[in-house]
Amino acid sequence: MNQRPLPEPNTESLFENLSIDIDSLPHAEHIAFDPIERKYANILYLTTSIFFFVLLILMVTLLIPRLGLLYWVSWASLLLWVFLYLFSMWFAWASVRKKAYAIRDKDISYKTGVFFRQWITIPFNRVQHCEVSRGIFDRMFGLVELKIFTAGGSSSDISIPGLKPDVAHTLKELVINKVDSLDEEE
Amino acid sequence: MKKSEDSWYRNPTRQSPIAIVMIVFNIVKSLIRVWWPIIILLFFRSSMIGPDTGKPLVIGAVIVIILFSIWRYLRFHFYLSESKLHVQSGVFTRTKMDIPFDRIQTISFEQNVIHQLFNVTKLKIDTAGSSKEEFEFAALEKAKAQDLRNFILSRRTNFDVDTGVATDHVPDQKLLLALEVSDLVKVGVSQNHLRTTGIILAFLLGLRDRIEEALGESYVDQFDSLAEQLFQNIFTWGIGLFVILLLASFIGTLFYTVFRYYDLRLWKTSEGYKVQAGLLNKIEQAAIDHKIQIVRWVSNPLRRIFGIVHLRFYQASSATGNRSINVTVPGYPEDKIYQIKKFAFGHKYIEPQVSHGIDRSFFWRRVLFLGMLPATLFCILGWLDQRLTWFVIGGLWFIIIGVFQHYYQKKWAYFLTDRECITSHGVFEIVNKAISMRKIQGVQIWQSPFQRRRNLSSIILHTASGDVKIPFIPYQVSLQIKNYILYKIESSRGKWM
Repeated sequence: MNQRPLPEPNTESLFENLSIDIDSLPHAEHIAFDPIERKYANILYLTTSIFFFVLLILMVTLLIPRLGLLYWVSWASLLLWVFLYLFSMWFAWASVRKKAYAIRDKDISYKTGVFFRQWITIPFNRVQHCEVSRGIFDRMFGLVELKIFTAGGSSSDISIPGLKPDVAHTLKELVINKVDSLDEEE
Repeated sequence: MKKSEDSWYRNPTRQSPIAIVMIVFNIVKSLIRVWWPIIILLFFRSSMIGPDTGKPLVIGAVIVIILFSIWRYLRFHFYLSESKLHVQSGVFTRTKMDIPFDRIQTISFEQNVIHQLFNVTKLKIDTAGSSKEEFEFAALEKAKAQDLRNFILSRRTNFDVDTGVATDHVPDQKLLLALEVSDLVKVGVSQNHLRTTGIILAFLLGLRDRIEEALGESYVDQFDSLAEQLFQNIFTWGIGLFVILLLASFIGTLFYTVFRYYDLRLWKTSEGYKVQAGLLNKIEQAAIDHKIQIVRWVSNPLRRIFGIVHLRFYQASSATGNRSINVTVPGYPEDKIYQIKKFAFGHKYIEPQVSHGIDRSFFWRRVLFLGMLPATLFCILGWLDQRLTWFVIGGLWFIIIGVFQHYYQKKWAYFLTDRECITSHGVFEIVNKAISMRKIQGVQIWQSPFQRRRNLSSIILHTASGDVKIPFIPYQVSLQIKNYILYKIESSRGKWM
């Protein structure tokens, strides 16, 4: 995320009654993140294009015949369509480059977001279950999606798209093994 | 309790015959909920079908519902085996359910007026599992219901350390709170009536559209022209309606509070909390210690005068978004909140002293989006409409939002100890949330472009029953919080839900 150096805030007073040096803890900000497959962009290009062409067909068959081709609203909406379509394609291109995941000994992290950056970390001892899913478009490009579920609502679940099947299955095994071994320790 | 020699629950048993009444009642209730626009339509436009067909139709429907209910009652059997509750039910499709005792989470009783009159009770059974499963007996004799509960509780084997004590029929419990009617009046008076009024207003506006759909426009036009005659201009109309609704919601809430929380009692039991309340509908709820994820208490100026808060326990549940699992205790004494925190966080709990604030740019952003933007829209409206009122509204709106957000940002505070995180925010209504770090199951750092330029971020702590968010803190601070909380979760071994 943000790499700009900052004056260190006073950490002593952040936590009360602390018996551990907070700087000695593992730093989550220094982990190396693995990006997802760039190929995933193709899926986004495809779905975006399908959406926009359906929109175009609706515009051409319903909106423009009523308004007339020469009316300025027709031209403006066509221009808007071109602009939004280009923007969405760029957004798809950029968003794939921002999606990355990282596994540490005891947790898994996932980063995403072009403008609004999100970075969520789930400890393995809070994972409920884990699955690999394949949609129609995933199948076309030979990719899969890894889903990691926690309890309660879905707000803290992670789903990592655009993974190679073998990578995803290794990750899934890894997560499940970690979850199981933690369960046994208890 | 005397042990019944031939336990009745070994053989397939029916519910109490009162159940028929409850089934009829439930069917009618759900019919009205789905078909009410049509029922209103028939009521107003009875000419459409004529009285000759209307009466037999209603009588026929009533007979069908009653026969169906009796049939359903007769088809419902249950019995207990050594480890399972067996239920057979269904009129058209027969279903057989076997619920292992180990999967049963809570068994609660609920009594409405009819139940109380005949000394029967509704029995709700909540089970754990990936799919949402809730199961209820419409009416069962009270003694039988108690037998059932005791037997199931005594046969459960998968006790965790903390619930193991539940084998006792009477777990040792301590009364924490008992509300008198005078306390309930305080609770009712100090509810957020503005919000209730807003909800009613929104409901009425929606209702107007529904009525229009059902009755046609002429009725609504009459209503509208009447309203127009009464209140010539939009402001007096709006203010008049608002005052009437405010009064209505005040009285309504007062009555609701007294009925809903009548004779409220809160106990601390060995496994958590137990709450019992209700005048017409007696409800008993339990919050299990290790299932409680977030403790939330809300105060407002009136409640501060009365010295009370609105307390709520958020519990983890099998079903997502199941709100009924959250336990609410209104009118809890403010000076005893410490006691609840001590129970929730253990005896090592130390009240945090140092409060941290959020960044000032939170204020600027709120002013921009909530103040500036609408104010500009009002001004554009005023420019188009050529009326000064819009500019006045826009200016007032901007000032009110500015002052409010100023205090909102100033008052936002969070506290961190080595084991807990507490947040507190609000200007008039102050919302406090307390969470134990080992209950957290995901830590998320969030940055908008606006925040990134200022090296700020928000941190969201996810639990199995809702989130706690701290907005607009320095990025470095959220990193430290994230690192510490992850360390705390990953090194904890205990049960968290």
